[in-house]
Amino acid sequence: MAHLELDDHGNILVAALTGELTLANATEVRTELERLFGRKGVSDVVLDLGAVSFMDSSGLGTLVAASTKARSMGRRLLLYRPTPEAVHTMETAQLTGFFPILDDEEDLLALLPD
Amino acid sequence: MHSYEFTTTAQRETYRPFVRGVAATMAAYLASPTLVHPLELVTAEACANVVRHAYPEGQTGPLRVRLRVTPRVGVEISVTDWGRGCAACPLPPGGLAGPELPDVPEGATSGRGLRIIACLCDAVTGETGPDGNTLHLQLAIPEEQWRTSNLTITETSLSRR
Repeated sequence: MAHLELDDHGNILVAALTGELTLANATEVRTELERLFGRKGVSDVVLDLGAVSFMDSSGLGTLVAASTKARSMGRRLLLYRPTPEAVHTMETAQLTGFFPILDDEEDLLALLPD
Repeated sequence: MHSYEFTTTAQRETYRPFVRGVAATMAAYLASPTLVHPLELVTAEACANVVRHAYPEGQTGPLRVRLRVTPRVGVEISVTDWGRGCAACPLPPGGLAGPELPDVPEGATSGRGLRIIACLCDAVTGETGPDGNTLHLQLAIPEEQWRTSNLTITETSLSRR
């Protein structure tokens, strides 16, 4: 299971995911992300992966699907502080560069409105 | 060589705790817990393929992982199902190798599991027979990644053969 905790910054939502992102919960997370993009006035969803302990190709597929949907709506899915293991999975799946990535809090603060 | 066998029912809701158990067994041999990640990832991808493809929609069936650890050399992970087998997820006759796999389109939402397996394993072969459909994954592990202290493998809920 996974849990999304939301931090609302106006047009930017920061959603912190805890647990895992795998086949077990990929559909649930995708549905939740798409619901967030459907919120009025939202331009970006920043998905905080700092507490995601494991991610597989199904989890990546969910992020690709949510990102593609967001782009079709003129919005963005950004990944925030993915763990080294998550980065390794993305690199192995040849998805490096597909997602905008915020490496640290400095990157996040630069994105958020004052 | 140390051999272990794990069995469960192939279900979306339960395969991850099952894979974590396999990973914990492998991690006990390694110098650092983080080194188990590629081993856990390929095991998870192979088991997820069974959950997604092996049995008809709405049905479940058995899933078995056999683990053979050769300390200071590597591991072999054999994932078996008794469903539709490789017909749902075909392998080239000679097994998998990263460069031989077609690229997955960047926007595709599936199809990356086998690529991850091919990239991280040294050899991947499949077989179908009376004892089910098995994907064999072999990974060499460098000398410095093995635990150097005396190995103490606790066998609790695991069945060691």
